[in-house]
Amino acid sequence: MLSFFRCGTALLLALSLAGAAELTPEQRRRNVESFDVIWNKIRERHWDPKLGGVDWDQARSDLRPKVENAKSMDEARAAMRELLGRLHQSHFNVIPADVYSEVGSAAMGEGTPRIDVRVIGDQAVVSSVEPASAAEKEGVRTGWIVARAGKQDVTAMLQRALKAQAASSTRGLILRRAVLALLSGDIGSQLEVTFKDGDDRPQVRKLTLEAPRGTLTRFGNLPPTHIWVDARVLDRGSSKIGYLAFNYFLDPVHVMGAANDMLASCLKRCDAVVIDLRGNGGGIGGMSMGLAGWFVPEANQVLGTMILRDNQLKFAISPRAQTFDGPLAILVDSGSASTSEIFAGGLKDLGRAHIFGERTAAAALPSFLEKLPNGDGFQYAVANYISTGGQPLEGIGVIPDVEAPWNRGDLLAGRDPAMEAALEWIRARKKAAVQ
Amino acid sequence: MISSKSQRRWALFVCLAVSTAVCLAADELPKAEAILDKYVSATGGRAAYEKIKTEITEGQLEMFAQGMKGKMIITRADPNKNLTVMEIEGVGKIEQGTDGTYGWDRSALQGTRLVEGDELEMRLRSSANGAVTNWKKYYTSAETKGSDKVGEQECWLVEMTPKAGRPETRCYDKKTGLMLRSAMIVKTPMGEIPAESFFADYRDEGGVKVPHTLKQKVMGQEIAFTVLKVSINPALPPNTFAIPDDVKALIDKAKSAPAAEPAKKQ
Repeated sequence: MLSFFRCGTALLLALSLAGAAELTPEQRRRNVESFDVIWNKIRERHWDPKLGGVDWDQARSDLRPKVENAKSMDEARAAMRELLGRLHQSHFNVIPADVYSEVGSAAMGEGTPRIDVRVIGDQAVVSSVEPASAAEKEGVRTGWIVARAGKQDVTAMLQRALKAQAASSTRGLILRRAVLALLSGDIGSQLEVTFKDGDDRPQVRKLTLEAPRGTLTRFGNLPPTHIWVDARVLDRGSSKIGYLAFNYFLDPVHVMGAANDMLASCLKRCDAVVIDLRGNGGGIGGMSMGLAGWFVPEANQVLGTMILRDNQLKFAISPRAQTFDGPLAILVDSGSASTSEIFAGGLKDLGRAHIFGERTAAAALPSFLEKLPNGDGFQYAVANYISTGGQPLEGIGVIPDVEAPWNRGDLLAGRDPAMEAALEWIRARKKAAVQ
Repeated sequence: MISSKSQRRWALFVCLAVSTAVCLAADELPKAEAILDKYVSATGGRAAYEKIKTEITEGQLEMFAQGMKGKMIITRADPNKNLTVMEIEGVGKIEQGTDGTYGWDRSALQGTRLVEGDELEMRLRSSANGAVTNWKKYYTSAETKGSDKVGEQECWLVEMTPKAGRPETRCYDKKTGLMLRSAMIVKTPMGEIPAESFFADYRDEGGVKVPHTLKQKVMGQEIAFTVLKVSINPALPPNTFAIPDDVKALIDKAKSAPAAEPAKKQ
């Protein structure tokens, strides 16, 4: 299963670009061909032959003419996205060809101020500032509101987008990615960002955009993306806690290598393990089974079941020879999507993990990404996914055992409510074990 | 080299789907045994097969729709040892092995697991020398089920029922006797997965004709394999099929704790 990448970028492009060059007859032909590929693929591959009651023939009649008569690529894509939108499901998307780039030229537009954000209410709030980044040097603080990025009014964009996404369970994920896209640009370029500090006073900073954190990685047709992993043992007084965070379930050699080393070292000395999946957009489903094998000793356990049109696949856990049997806390938020939800939801349902934070993105459909005749990417889901507790994750997500949502007050105070709740739970577990 | 035993080994990697047969009356059909004998003859004959004790097949694999590709090396030795190593871009190394007794899968993606039950039987069978020339040792029956077509080529459908696991269906070219397609249900911890393999471009390797291209269809996805180099009877390091330490640890765990403690509830 593949995560859906850059839907924020796609959304942004859909919202903001206009007046693209007129199409040539060849481009128009390829767009129509692409529409037909999408329409046929979903008719043939969607796990529900009835497509949830959507009149697919009618959709074709309504929308194919729009592609035939489109005056720009954006108009053609909009019609294709409208077709996909009639399914009202995640992981169906058309990704513009220019989002694809070769690894060697991926620096174009990849620059970031190395801050992360969360959409809280209708505001984009800084949730982390990377150490030693230009943003940190310029004094940017967690809890600040991102008001403007360059010429873009971020707050106004969010207010418009929130109306458009009001009914979407994935709006937190989509809007966060949209804001991060507004904060991106060429590496080395400068971006003027207007923040509002803790007293809501404007703070204008010129931030030099840097290469994203992590290693540029390619996985099939997915756009190249930077993958980072943070695996270490935290020393919390008398407790040692294994901590693992990474941004996508991709690059298994790098990510699982670091996770395996940390977890192997944790077997005998850690009191608990915290896996921080906040902002983790998912990726390769198989990695969830391999990682879960560190925490589930017995055989024949599954995280959930993928329901395809003609078959079912169990997400079977591969138990390690030695497993970590202590408390396991998983941190999630609205940016935790797809494989993150499969992992967290499955271990929660098995009673093996306690979940902290916010409800996840509810976007867990296994999907593939293929190139269309017009060069765009086409992401389509091929299966539904039912967690081992019997509930679909799509549209519902993983509900935390302990709600500890992001809030501006805590961020301004430098606090992390989900992590603090998890540590409190670990302390209580340890105390109970001693007694 | 992809001998017919190797064909099933390739097929093991993913699988095969049952084709729709156009059945003929039983008395019009050639005996399955005759079809299987013809295949052995068409690919080089029993004596040629028996000369092959070890083999290394190197090739590439590609999943066009997903834009993924990689390398694959299959090392096999009598009587039924096998180590298949795939290196796939963005995924890393995937190993599937058997020392003739135990079977295992290892990858960065999913960790390490023992292969057991019907899945192990299939791996041992597909790794066995003589599974083609002495098929009765591994299968309880072979029955001609009818005829079908692969592309423009007409072929005989033969259902092979192994001593363990689900039946396999193969289609042998009526003219050349070569196997064109096989289909099976592969039993894995993830479930029973239907898969279909198509064999083509047979070439002589050490006296045995082997297919140099293989396309496998699994759950709507297609994987293409191309053989680039075959080494017949190479000397293999003695530890080629040695059980890795993490696999040994799983074997020890399985022996010492047949019923592991349930996961602790949180």
